[in-house]
Amino acid sequence: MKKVVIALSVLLWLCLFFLNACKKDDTTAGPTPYNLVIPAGLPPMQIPAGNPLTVEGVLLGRKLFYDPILSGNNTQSCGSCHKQKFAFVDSSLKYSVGIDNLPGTRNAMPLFNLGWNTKGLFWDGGATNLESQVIAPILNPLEMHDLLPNVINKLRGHSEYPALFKAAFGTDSITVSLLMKAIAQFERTLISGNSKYDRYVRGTESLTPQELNGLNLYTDMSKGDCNHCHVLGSTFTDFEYRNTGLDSIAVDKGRALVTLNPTDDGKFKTPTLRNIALTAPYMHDGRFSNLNEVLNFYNTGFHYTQNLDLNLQTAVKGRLSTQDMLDIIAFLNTLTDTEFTTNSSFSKP
Amino acid sequence: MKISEIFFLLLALIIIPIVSGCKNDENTPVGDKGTVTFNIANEVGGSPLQMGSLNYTNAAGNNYQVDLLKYYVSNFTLIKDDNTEYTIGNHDLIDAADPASANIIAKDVPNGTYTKLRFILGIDSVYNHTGDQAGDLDPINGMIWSWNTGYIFFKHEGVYKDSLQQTKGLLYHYGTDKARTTIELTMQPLIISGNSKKVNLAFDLNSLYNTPNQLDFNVNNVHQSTSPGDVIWIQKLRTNFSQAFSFKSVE
Repeated sequence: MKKVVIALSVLLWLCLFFLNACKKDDTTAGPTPYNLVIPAGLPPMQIPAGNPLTVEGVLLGRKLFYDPILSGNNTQSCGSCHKQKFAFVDSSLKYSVGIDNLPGTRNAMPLFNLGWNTKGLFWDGGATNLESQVIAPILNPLEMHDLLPNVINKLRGHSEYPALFKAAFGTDSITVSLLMKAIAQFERTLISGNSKYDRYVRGTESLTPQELNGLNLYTDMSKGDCNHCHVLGSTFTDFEYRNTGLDSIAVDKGRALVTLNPTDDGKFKTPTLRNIALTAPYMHDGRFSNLNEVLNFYNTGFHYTQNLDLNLQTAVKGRLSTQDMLDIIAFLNTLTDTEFTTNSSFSKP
Repeated sequence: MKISEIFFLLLALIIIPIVSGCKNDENTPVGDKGTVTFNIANEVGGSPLQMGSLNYTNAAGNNYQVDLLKYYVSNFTLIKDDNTEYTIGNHDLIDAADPASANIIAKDVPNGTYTKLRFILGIDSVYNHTGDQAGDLDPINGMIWSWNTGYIFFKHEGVYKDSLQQTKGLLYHYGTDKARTTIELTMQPLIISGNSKKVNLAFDLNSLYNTPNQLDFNVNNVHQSTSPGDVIWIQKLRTNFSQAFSFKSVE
């Protein structure tokens, strides 16, 4: 009987051994899922199935974001023109200057809450998703001006990156796709949702009478009417493209360069108004250096151009008093999130 | 029966099915499928394309040269007389400088007689709008626009002589969803019965610039599919692409 017991237990072990042999390396630890915390007031974020957030992927993306290795002469990183303290725009420059000392053609955009933008990135929406966006500044001769084979060779020959890619994606083989995935992962973690206004909505802080008046004007359709496009709360933008009558004839054709459709001439993406006090100068070409100029433009300055947005076609010029504009700006200042601009998880590692 | 015998019998009964369960199912009967290799010959006026010399003339009278010629062909579909189809979800980059790239291989083509071939010049909308891809769609191949996510379906770079006989650059980067072209060709019957076959096709660059729409490089020698002004150019080439490919033979 004892022999039967021994035989059966040996059999059991052998069975377990062979069953395990069928499995594919379940025991090797893969990357750790990243716990993305969404502040109250912002919706759940749709993460692409092909690029789940992982601790290792985000860390790699963060390192790449701040590494000048991605530029032609190894002098500029993404972070050179997207600075955290300015909500990831480039200080007060109208046009950022690339590695060849040439200025770009549009104002650097802020980088946060990008995971909710599913209608295209850049001012004209040319990049369809965060992954695809990654290579544009790297390749642009006016920006980081490099070539993809060169970038990939530099990363493959680096002392740290092969191991970091392996940890994040389980492979030593560094590809453009994995470079895109890593930086996109880091960018999805850049979330801003703790401004004074957010705390006011949550009932933990109050707005001054002037700020409250600004908030009322913001949504008043006969006054600020900001709310149509820069939808109050959440991301503070509808992510759509509009011609706001900046010029009577659009100098930069904007969205039409992507759709090849003349009815999109002069249309640009509605930017978020979160952290707007930090992201001067304003508009796609940085033509306005402060919010006062922006409010004056929407009050009286816009042109009745061919593709002018319907909301502006019906807006009465001069509808805002000087005090109204100051109050709206006071409200806009409550959208600054210093917790975001000082969060050490987003700084250079 | 001894205990050891029972042990080995049980061992065999249990382990053999488990071990064989590890195998992939590769047991489809041999013979009901075949392999088809499509080869696209790049030609000008019916002769093999030669790169790097100014020895071609289009119908508009432009003397031109090819320094780079690359294009995507995808979704090859074989069609039988009863209109049943077999599609391979391929995305192949043809590079005139790399003869190996001219072969598109379709494995597992079900037996039957195919008389038509359909494919796309360009990339279908599912794959055209993200750069996060591998293989022939890897952005490292330099066939994608980064400022307007989408593949460059066709690229011809070279030089031509303008009306004053001065040599000028020629840069045609053709793409966007408006540019996708479906090409349908009638073949001599392609009979698959568990075997391998080769289908020879040709792409004629002069046909692309001449038929039915004449393209004149003097009008514009640089097109990047990036402005509303490129739309007419895209429409002309799109029509011409549908005639620029031809069926040659089955081997």
